[in-house]
Amino acid sequence: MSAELEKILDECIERLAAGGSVEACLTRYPGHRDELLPLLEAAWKAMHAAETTRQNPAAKARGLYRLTQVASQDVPQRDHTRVPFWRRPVAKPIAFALVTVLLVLGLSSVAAVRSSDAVPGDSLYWVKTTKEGVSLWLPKSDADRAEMHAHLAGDRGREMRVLVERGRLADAEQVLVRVRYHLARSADYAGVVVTVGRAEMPAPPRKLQGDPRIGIIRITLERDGEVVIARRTEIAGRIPHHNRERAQRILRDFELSYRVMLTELEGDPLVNPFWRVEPAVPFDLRIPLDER
Amino acid sequence: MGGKDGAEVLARIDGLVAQAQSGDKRALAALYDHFYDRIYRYVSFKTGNPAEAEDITEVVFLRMLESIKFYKPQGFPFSSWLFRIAHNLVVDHHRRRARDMSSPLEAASHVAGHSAVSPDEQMDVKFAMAEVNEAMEGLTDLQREVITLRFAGGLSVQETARAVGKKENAVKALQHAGIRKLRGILIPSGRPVESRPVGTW
Repeated sequence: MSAELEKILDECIERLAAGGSVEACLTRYPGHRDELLPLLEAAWKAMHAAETTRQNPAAKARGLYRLTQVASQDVPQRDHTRVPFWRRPVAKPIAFALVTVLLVLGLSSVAAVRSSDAVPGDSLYWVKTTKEGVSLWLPKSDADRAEMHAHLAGDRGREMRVLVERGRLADAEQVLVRVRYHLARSADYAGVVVTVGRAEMPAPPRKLQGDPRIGIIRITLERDGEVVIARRTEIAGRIPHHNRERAQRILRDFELSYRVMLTELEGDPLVNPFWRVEPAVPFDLRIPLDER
Repeated sequence: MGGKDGAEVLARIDGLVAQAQSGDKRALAALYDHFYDRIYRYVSFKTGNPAEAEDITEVVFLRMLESIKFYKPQGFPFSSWLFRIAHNLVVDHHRRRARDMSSPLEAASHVAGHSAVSPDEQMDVKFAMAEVNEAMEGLTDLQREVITLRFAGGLSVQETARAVGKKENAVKALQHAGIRKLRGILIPSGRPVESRPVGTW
């Protein structure tokens, strides 16, 4: 769209409004005839429609009468003089709202900090999940979202470990589902296919191929995975026998989920250090038979 | 259109505004007479309802009366200021109503209603208005505002630019884009040019 054409079009519209004809404009600018003709035709039509909008003379006269009447009454004109803010009627409600907002923000900040170690069932756990939910809603790139879900998987993993240590295994299983969810979302955003059967589902090219944040996500997963399953034998040892196998299965499932994800990110399971942290030996083999 | 408003007309309006600011009722009446049709056409185009347009137009001038004392030219044409008032009132009106506008045909039902044109001509006008109103729905808010101010309000590019808070070149570009869209809706490609009202061309 050239500025020249815009200028010519505008000039022609002015001429049309002043009573000129479309043909006169086209004759004036023969080089732009083809472009101008349809535009002027549309403009003419709109202008013609606007011009046919005729007002009711009675309404016009009535309006004038009212205007002059109001003017004669010397109605007080709008007071535009500046009144200090604190003297305006809205000052108190606004100040109250501001104080309330600040108070809420302050309390929210304290609650957010105190809720960072909360686990399901704790009073401040909802603050933690709400904060996470809000951060997930904020617009981000795929790499940011992949990284955020990896972090959230780690957070859920730590919660899961605490719940296992407390013997709340049903809750730990629920949290494990959330761990898998966050890992799956992280994989989706990173563009990797998380599967235990790679032969059946060959990995497509990564969405974030070459993105340095893939490395950060990998490091995050390795670190969190190690933290959660560290000293798992010790943890299992503290759990009553009737629940021990269930606790071990939760930790193993967690480990498996992390391994699969890391393997897909690495592309080669042999270079994954996480495999070497602790061999995948079934826990129940370590438990003396008399304790089973 | 604003093109009619030469420097002489603008100077006259400035003079009338100055007199109105000092309480001269005849100057107020002259301003009313000068702008009423354009404001009414603009409001009518925006609301699509003649009765509401009459009411809003009346309020526009009452607001003008209330606030004219505080109008300062400073390169801001009076017409732009007045159309800003009209625009704000139309926006308020839409907010209050928060409902669908009258149908284009209903909107068009008033045109030529007070003039001495034949029923056939009235029907032609109704359909032309309905068609244009429908086509205007396809424009962006800003394009519609520029086209309405230019064609219905009769403002110049400079006045329109002041009224919508844009630069003149931006207004020209919006006008161009708006007309292109209108053309696409009003005049489908391949339509024979003979369908135009020959007498006017």
